[in-house]
Amino acid sequence: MRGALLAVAVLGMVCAALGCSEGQRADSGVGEPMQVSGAQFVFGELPGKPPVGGGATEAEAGAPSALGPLTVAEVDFNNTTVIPGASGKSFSGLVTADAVAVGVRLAGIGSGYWVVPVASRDSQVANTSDFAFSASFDIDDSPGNRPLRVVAIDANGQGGTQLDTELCLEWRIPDDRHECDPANPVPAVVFSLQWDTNFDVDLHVITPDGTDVNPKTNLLAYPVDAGQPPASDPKIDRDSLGQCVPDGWRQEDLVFPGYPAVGPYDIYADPFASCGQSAVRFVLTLYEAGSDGALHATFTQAGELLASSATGSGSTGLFITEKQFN
Amino acid sequence: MVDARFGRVALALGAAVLLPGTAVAQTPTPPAANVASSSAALDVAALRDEVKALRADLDDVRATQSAGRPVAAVMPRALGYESFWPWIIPPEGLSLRGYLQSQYETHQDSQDQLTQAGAPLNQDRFSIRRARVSLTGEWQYAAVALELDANTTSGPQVDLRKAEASLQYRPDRRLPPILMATLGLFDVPFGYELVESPRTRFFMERSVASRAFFPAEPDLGLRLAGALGFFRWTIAGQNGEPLGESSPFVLQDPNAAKDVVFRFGIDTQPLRDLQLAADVSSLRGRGFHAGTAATSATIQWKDLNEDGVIQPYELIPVPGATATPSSNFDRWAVGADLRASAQSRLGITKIDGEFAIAQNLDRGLYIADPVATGVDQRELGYWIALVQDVTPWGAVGLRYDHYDPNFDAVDKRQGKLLPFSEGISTWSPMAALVVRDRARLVVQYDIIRNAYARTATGVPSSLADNVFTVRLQVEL
Repeated sequence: MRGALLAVAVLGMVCAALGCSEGQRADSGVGEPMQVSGAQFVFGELPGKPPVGGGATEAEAGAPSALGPLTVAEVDFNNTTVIPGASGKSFSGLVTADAVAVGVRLAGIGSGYWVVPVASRDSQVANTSDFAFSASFDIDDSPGNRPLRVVAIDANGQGGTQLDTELCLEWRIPDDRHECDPANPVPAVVFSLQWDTNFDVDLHVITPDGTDVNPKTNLLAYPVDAGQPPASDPKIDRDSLGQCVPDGWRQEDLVFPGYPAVGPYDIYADPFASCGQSAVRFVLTLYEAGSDGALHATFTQAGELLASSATGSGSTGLFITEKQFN
Repeated sequence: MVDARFGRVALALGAAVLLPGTAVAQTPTPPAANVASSSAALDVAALRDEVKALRADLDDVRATQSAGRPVAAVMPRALGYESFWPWIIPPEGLSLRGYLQSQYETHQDSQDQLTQAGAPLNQDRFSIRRARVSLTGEWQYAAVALELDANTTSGPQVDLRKAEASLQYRPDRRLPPILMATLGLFDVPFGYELVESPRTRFFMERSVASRAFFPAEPDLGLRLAGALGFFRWTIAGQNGEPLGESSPFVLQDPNAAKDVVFRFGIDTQPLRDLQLAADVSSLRGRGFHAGTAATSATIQWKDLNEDGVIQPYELIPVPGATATPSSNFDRWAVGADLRASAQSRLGITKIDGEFAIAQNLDRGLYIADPVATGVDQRELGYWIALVQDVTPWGAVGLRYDHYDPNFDAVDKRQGKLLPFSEGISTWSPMAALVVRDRARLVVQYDIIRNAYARTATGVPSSLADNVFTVRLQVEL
């Protein structure tokens, strides 16, 4: 027994001598509001000085005529709006040639920043290097305007002056970008059904005139001339998990741009296909426009569906609640 | 120890019987003593008869052994350690063995997340690493070995680990066969780690290089092997798609070429307290690059302006593509291993080491496919280990292993291609509590250095993925 204790003690000493806890953490970056492919996540604040005057507000901040040391000269991307859960959104830019990497994060949210090594020298702008990365965003990111903050980093880990570029993170509840631009009016009512596994659940709403609105027939009224329905018409926005193809949403919304017609609306959750899952937990949330012009949750109901009750669209599914509009 | 004690007791008893007799012989013999003397002569004659009968019985037993009848045999254990296949000498006839390794392990890189394929990234868990049952049959000219493994490493599963049917010539039943031909599923005879039983190995797993080259030990094929004195030789032809490989062709063979493996070496005990063994190995074979099936024309949507709405210019037609043929590529490896065991007052000291260089052989980690990359992947792996008995009840050990999966790896920094090492180095201190021939409680901490991460300046760096494991092994 004394030998065994000695052995464990030797093990501990060897471990201490060899430095058991060195290395970058593996769990970093998972669950961050923005994830950058192939980059290293570092906990903490970006190195360098804060952005001057709030930073650039355009997607393409033009290269300044005279670049100081460790300067991010340009950040380019296609669209300032980030749709919820966007994957593989491309960013590129220029930094001064003294940078070996850039650090990037969403300002104000998250626990750290991503390090992206710079690529080759830029062929058009003297003394600059290119950088590029592909970012993905969490579908539950807090919506609104969020600056993308970028800083050039030298070989000693020192940062230059940070540069902000505005991004609009859309809300996963369709609100016509109201969170980013309060001047945009929100829909009057949204029925939102969300669930937790890759189970094809369909939202069914029986309107006062008996129409069954669901992802397969997603309009309340179809245009008689086979043209585009007016944007003001209510409709269900998607058929999530259609044909059991995972889409990352697990959410269907019936959006009423204007106030719904008076009468009772019966709401159902239809377990259309189990897609190999044994059960699914869902939450129905009713959002209504408030006096402040924003959407607010006014009703929530959770439930569970089993694979054995999958209907294949034979019925409207499980009755959840009835909502009366006056 | 028991034999020595028995010997001393027998000597004492013999002295007690003989010394009084001698004293009596020096005194004048009374008439009654003549009677005793003739009685002793009768006893000696009876003892002689008994010895003769015992000798005859012994001859019978030896004859039975040479006739191949089942007789209990003991596996040779040079300096306390068993040999390995095919040099292991099982008991005559059928025998059943087994062992169970259950463990708890914790990994620094565990995350409570899933991979894109849905596999858990958390590796902090209890598991059954190996639950193995083996049946061996050993006869004069034939032998068979079957081994089943059950484990929960990737969920509950049961695998066939050995299915060896052999013909052999083993005239001296105390020694390994002079010639043995085996057809079936057996461990790839390259180096030492692959053929060493996980039951006898103190360290939890094989080295990183060995696991990269051979994700699991067994493969199907034909093996010829023999032992003559201290010389050992093995030649094998195998499918080249070992168990555990990351391909759809595990234990099958998508090409006709076979992997040919040679191993030549020695195993000797030059001194009573020293055993030496060494081998050189080589492997030459052909890997397989799978072609692609024909495809139909499709339309793809790429959200170029990232607004989530389909625009006409965002629809990309993808024409149907014809099938592409599969092709083969060459792969090879050469290696050497050296093992030394010495007995001292401390107990047995084992020092083992092995190295291998290879090309396009990685089938488990940085999987080699020069058809796809256009460049041969050159690999190097080596390890050295020390295990020291600490009293009969314990052992400590330390192993260092290194694997460089690609000599030619480069990293792009500031537009320059800089050579860098993708090498993975592991220090594995180990301590064990041992109940000889029955159980082991082993703790091991793997300190791993790799190039999976980057520093805050973008330079390749080590990802923290050290591993602590505690394992209990109990044998049937």
